[in-house]
Amino acid sequence: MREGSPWRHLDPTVVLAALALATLGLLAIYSSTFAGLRAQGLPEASVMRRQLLSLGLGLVVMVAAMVVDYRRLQAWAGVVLGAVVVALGLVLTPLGSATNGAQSWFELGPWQVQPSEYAKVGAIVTLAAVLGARREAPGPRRLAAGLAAIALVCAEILLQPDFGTFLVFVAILFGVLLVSGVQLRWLLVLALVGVLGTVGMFKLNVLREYQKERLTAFIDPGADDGGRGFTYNSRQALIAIGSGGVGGKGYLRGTQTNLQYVPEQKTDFIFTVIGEELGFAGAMALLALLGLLLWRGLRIAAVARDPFGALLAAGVVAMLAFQAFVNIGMTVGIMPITGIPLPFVSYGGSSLVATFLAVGLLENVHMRRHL
Amino acid sequence: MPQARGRKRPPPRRRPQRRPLRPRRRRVNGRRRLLALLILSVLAFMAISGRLIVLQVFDAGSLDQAAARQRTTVIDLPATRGRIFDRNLNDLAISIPARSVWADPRLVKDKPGTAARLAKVLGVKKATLAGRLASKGRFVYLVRRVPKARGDIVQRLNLPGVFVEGAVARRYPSGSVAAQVLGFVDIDGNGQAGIEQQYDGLLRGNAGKILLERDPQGRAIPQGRRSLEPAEPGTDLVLTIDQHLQYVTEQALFRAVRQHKAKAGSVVVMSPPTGEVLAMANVPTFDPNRITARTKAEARKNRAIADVFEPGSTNKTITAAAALQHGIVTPRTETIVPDNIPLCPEKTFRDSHSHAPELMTFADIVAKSSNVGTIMAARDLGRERLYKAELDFGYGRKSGVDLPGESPGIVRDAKSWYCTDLGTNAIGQGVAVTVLQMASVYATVANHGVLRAPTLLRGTVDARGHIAKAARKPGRRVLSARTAKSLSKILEGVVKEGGTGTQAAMEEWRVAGKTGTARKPDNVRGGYRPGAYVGSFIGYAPAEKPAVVVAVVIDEPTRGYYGGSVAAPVFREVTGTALRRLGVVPTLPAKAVR
Repeated sequence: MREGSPWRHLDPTVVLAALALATLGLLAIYSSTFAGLRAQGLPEASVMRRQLLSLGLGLVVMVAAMVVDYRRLQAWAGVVLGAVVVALGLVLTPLGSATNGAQSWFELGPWQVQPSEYAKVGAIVTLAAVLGARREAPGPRRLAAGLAAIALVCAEILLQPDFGTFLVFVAILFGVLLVSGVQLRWLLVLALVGVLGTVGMFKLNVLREYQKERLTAFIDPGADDGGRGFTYNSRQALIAIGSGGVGGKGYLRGTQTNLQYVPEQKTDFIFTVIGEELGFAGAMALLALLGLLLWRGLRIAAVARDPFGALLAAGVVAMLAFQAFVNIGMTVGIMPITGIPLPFVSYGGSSLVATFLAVGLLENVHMRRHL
Repeated sequence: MPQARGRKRPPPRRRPQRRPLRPRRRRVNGRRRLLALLILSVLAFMAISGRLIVLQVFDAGSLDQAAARQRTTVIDLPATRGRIFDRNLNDLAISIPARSVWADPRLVKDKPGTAARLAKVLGVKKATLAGRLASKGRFVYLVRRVPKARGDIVQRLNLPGVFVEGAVARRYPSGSVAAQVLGFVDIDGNGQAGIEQQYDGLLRGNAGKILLERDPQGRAIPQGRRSLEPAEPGTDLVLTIDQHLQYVTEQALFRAVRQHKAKAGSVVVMSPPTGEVLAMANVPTFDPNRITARTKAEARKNRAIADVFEPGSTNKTITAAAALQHGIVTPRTETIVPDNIPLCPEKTFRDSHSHAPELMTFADIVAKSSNVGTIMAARDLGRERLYKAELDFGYGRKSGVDLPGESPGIVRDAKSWYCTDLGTNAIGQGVAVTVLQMASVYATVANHGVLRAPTLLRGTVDARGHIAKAARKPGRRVLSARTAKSLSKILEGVVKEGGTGTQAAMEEWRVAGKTGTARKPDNVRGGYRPGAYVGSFIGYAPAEKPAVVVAVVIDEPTRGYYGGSVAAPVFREVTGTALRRLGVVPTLPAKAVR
């Protein structure tokens, strides 16, 4: 069996695409923050440097996730789920802190940890372990077990409440279930439940008012949102991207970016920086890198030696694809505004580290496809 | 049958056959579903790419313009309104930097607290401010055009949602002096009356603007595009008014109105050779610095040009002028004048005092203001010529003075006159004129028969401080110089011993003029209102080389009502001040001081 080190089977394309995307992110973060920091008399690169530090940590985590054979993870799925549930439970206690109305992170000295970002990867591992336990497609019992696990996690996420992250979990569930070979009618039933659940959440006031307003603003952009600015945000994003034109205004030359017309720009609206300063060409380059990475991810799922590996890869692809599409779709006005970051690019340590963790798992599956 | 049925049941046998197939098929199925995931991803990427093409290729131009538009802000620069000077360049109206305080009520967190703090600084009632802060919308003025110092204090309070902006306030340093002449401006700085309205176009100037690139917080961008269109200040005006004379005139008029318990009064002071109005005073009056909605219209009104009155005996000057001009009489023409004249079957005109038939010269008739004697001359003159004389002197049409709201007065066409109208017109009844029109009549006589349109604008001051003299309309001859001279002689008799206007006589200068005491028509019931008079004196000095014409009209005096007693003393005071202001040396020999 031994054909030398599994490292020989590393897929360099995935790692290089991820690094390229993260580099674009660093550039965009610097561009969107240097002016504001200078105005405050702070070092212009300080925000970007924090992200660089996170990237370093993310690379370490990625390599660590590649060291141990992923199949050994299958046995630890219960522990992973337990850790996720406990962490998400703790963040709801006074130990956690809140921003923008969501109780979603821990403050550890200078570092902020957002457990829900790691919970996404944890959910992928758990779902893949439960649904990919055997060679045949999961029956109702394993399906129920997987659903129960994800439902518990989603409930905690909704208690924060973080509707956007909840949607990511739904996307992961959908991706893993689809590839697990579960009968299509189960998927249809789940989709129906999902639609009814969304309507129910609207009716039963599970969603906060601002979350509803964001969705309403998307459906009817002309509606007066009472100056709360959801249509304003969307409009500013469109103006920034559109004013970039084909070639962009040039790096660090984006007027809308430098003047902070676009809200939450280094995080959720980071794509507008690339759209404005690097133009259509830059935006397409970013999309191409994402597409390359996702295509390699799907290929890894296809060549995986066992269902667990395939589902792991499928879950990672579903997570990344969904986040990328919803995030960019929101900035270009074809999706409603939800607080979902653009993987690799958006500012945020937990998001970046967790994403590289996922890339590490993806590579792990690829490296050991012949073992 | 049951056996056969039991044997033929196929499902139980097929099941175990299928089982091993299932996982294989579903694994293939799973791989195929990866393709579904791929297709979904490709569709999503296509949607985003398509959208990017629309935004960054097709809509790029319009979105770039939208970006530029929201970055640029226009700040209006108010133009400083032109100053108004009197003829000696004393300030009558000035514009000073001020501040307006406005609020975005949505940004004001503590509304009662904000109202309380501002009330203290601005001197406005707390409830008023709280009411304004309670208004909807994102912009409401709290106070406008307050002194700069107060605005600066508000600025330093740094109250959230409260903003201070630059403004220009109009001030009239002399208060109510020449109030009706100057007029006033509304809260937006638009001239609303008087000179402020008449010359609004000159005074207002052109507002400038600054174009700035701003960030969303409204801070100017240091390297941003900017352009400046400076405001062009309004033109300064120099009026013909003499501020000091105006002040003295107003005071004299006010004292007379109070002393004679009159309703109102007006005085116009003009320069006969130029038509320049040196003073134009009205009582009641107002302070244009404190104009509000409650300021009475009666006080705001420039009654010297807007109101008409029946001139009464002062109109005999026109009858006399026409009679002299047409050679009907000379000053020395002697006539036996009874105390009544049955001009028409239905009306007998009488003198104010009954007397035996008297031999009078025409000069005496005017000096003693004999109705009967005047009407006798008018009868010889005829209605057409009397009517034409009234028109020639400017009755029935606006004098053309540069003020808004002037009345043309009322004079009826001679073709429609009844028998009595010749008599009434001759003695100043049944016609209505403004005080300014009457002043103009006497100015014409004083100016050797040439009528000059009254005017208030002496000149304009350009940016370099040079004064450009205002254009003057040419004069129009109404009387021959000879007629004017002999009429002037007759009018000098009015203030002499035996005349009706002795109280207008002065020690230093020869005075010519005429008294008038007219009853006021009853606009409701017709006829004349019992006890309601208009007392007037209109004249000029020095009679041999007139420098000023002064028309004094006292409306409804109740303590004495003859023009010779209520108006003539005002005339004397105002004329004396005017001549001294103009540097006219006394022309009468001084009486020896004992």
